[in-house]
Amino acid sequence: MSTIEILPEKTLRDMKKLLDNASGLQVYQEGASYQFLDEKELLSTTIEVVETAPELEVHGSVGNDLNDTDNALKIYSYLGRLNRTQASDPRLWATLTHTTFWDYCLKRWPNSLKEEDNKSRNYILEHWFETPGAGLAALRRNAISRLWWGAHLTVAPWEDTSEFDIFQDSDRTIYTSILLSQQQIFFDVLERSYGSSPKLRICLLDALKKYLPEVSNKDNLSKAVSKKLRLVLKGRHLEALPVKDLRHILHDMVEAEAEALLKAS
Amino acid sequence: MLESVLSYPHPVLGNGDDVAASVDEIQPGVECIIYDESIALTINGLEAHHEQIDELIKSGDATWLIRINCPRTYYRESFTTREQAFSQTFDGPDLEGKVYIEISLVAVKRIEGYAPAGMHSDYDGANFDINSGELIAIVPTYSFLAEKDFDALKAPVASLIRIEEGEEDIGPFKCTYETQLIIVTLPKAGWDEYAAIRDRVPSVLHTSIVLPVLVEALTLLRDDSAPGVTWADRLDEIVTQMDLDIEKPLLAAQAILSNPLGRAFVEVNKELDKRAG
Repeated sequence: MSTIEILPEKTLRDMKKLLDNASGLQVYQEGASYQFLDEKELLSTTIEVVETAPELEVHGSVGNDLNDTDNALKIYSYLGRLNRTQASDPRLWATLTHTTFWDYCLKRWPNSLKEEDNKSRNYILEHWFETPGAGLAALRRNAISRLWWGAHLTVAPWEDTSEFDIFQDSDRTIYTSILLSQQQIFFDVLERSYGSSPKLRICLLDALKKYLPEVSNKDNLSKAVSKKLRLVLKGRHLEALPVKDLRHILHDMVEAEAEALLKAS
Repeated sequence: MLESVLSYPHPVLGNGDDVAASVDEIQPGVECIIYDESIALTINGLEAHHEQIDELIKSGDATWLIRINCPRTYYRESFTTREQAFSQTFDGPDLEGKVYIEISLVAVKRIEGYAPAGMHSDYDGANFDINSGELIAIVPTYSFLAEKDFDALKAPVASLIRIEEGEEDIGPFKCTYETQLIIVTLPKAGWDEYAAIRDRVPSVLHTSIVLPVLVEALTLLRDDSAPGVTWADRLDEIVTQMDLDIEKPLLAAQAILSNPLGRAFVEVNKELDKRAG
């Protein structure tokens, strides 16, 4: 075992400054490694990992070929159950995207960057660092952090609390697969405030699991349900209800939105 | 406490003048003790002060919902109680930065023909069917800063701003607000001068560097444009604890820095007197 070392904030700040010019952006298009880290000081952490990091694979550019679920499980297994303070430290994730998982990040988030284009700069900030001022989304878009958080918040929820016994399944990653199956679902669950509630998150994913196969445009179902749920939550604090009641309400809501989409198509 | 004003399809106690009660506002006592490894939260006085609504709690038709939300660590847990007192201990690492405590009273069963005494005349004697989960009463949102070593009332400037030497030889000083602390970068020439006087005339530096930086930071906070980083959480806590008007960033910044201009005058006069003497 070894412990992870992370880049200090000052180094990360200098790295972000390099994004202000074209050569700094081009680094993120190619290259066997991130070239500006030679002899940079690293800070120790107490995060222990196995000596060999997992190989994250990307088989294509869409859907299952992105291999997000498998990669999420590999990252979660590699880093283990970090505590929430460790997992919200942008330095950890920016270090991993620029070192251990540099190749994966280039493959998973390929870009055709234009010189000194602000859009390109933001794209790099989002996926290799953290999104400035994005609140809940700040670390949910970092290429490695999103995988860890995606797994941490969805793997076998019934193992955390008996409240979730009704969701027990032989597949411990059933909800991780749903969450990472579509970028839109990831956004509608993890970048919305209701998504940080375990009850709402798991009940919603459970309902999507049932009704997603019934619609052709899965993104539209996710969007419609998210819109409806946000509206309902303004006057109805569903977290006060027992899980079985909440599950029933979410299933009814997703079913109704799926039916509406089918009628409209 | 933060204000909450929304429009609901039925009268909600605590939402403006929807329902009159024996107190203007439900104000439970909220106490938070931050230890190294854990954070203990105690809430007392969970009472609607409205006979009919308090009866709904006793009968099991309604419950207090206490939601703890920490955006930085993605923590959001809800607890329910029908008691007047609630306490819970959290693992220290689960909460970092700003933590919000949202308290509401919600129906846990369908309540038909709900018509609380004292509801606003606009409702004109109507009654309502309330679904499970729907709000009966709301309480202003509380918040605290989960930082063990931070005292908002003794907050030194160092808890918000760090001054560093930049890479440019000359030019204006620059500021970065996206980092955990606000980073002020001085040009190399300025840095040398700064290093030579920072311990001799700190108030002059407060006026010339820290004051404008703080005004900008308060403006970001006022406009909800501040990033979710340490300085923003801390400054928000300082503003709350000192009861400052964030709509006037220049005045608020001067209050935080304890009259920096007046202190700078005294400091400069002392230095001049030394030379004259």
